[in-house]
Amino acid sequence: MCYLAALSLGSALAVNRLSENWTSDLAGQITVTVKSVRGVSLDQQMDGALAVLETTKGVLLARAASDGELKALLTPYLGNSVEIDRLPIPKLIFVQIDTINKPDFEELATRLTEAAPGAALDDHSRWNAQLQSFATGLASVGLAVLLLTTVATIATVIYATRAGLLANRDTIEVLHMVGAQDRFIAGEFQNHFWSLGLIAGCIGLAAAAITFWGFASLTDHSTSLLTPDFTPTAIEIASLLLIPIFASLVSMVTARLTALSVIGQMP
Amino acid sequence: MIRFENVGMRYGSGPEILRDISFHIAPGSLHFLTGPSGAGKTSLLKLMLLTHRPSRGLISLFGADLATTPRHVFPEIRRRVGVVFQDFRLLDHLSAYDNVALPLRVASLREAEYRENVIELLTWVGLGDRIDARPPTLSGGEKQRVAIARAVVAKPDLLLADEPTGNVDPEMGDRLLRLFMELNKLGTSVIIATHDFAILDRYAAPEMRLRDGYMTYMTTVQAQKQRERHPLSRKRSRA
Repeated sequence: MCYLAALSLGSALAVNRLSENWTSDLAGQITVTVKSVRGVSLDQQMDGALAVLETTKGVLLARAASDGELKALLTPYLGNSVEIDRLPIPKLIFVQIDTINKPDFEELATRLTEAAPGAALDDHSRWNAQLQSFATGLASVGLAVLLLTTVATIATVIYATRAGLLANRDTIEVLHMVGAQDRFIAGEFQNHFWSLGLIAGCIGLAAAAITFWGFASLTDHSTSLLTPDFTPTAIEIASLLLIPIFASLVSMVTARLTALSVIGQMP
Repeated sequence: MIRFENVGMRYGSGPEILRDISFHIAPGSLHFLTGPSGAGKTSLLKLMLLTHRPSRGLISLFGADLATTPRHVFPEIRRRVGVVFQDFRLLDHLSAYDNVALPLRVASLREAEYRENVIELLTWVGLGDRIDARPPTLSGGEKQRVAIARAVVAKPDLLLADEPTGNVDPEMGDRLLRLFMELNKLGTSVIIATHDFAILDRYAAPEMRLRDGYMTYMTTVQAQKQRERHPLSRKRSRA
């Protein structure tokens, strides 16, 4: 259970981190596409658009994509033999913006259209929203698995405590006989399951750490935007280290409540 | 101290094991509870120990009516009762020392407060060299002595003993009974369940006799005084 909990929490954290990376990558960049329009040359439009961008507050850098960059973007779809000059493809301007003091995109789009009628501004917000929604969905699945694991742990502890109470009925009767309060007997079970939960939690966490290490070794997240980095940050390690403590607490409280409930029915 | 009024008891939906039991036991008294096997002696002790509830009638223990006493008060009452069961009821995973110390531990006493007393008591019952032994390694007699030490270690107000001398030699049996007598002299009420009539002849104490779940005889104060003057009269009354 602890292994599954650590896996689900670790995966949710990794996906969350991946989503943040996507967001931060996209948040700092916008793209201006300039299409050819009858009556105005493409170069004229590019000069006008660049002039507007350079004078816009919040724009850190604006540069036209080179032919090589355009070719690299098209190669996956059209192959290596493409001759860009002979294709009516739009020009691109890569713009780096200040993520804190962002420019007013609506106003910028209007000014760009005035200076270059074929210019269109893409602030990546649509992609960003979709990627975030996808990542949130994945992280939610991870957290749902974590929740299910917790519920399954509680059910297992209830069953184990009841079995333990049944197996130790004679001992409980003796403890009652010598004047033990219910909470004393429940405390014995609680302590047993606390240490059991802690040991199980540590074993599960260690197994999960080995699994994550295996994933991290097998996958190279630097070459794929969709593969999360399974190397956890310090905060994530701290969160994962809480799993054995959380498992112990869940086991302890469940065992105590179950024991009190069962013992309470005794004479 | 103990009052039973028309008490009946059955296990589950079975027949009544005890029927119409009524008696009163004064503080500081000593009684022998006698009767043939299956008469209900152990069941009567279980009622006094609050491990079973009566199916009818009223039981009052230390002034508390058990029918109206909240369950959470029972441990306090049980701590005033020491018990020696026929089957010892020792915890096999604990040493002789820990078994004897159990009533003190559950009463939240620190080990430093009772360690010496527990060892002294174990030594007194002849188990000074076996304090770390676990029950499975002890003989029947040794287990019985551990059970008796556990019953008396907290100096209870009431001591219930079910065949306490059944598994020990006569010499040790006498010694243990003398321990009960001494406790009784110190103010502990003692009820000893036995079918060993030789013990009854040796010790002049009132008798409660059970047969088929009924209490067929209980020594009256007058009869007891007469018996103490003429011990042989007890034998005549039993005959």
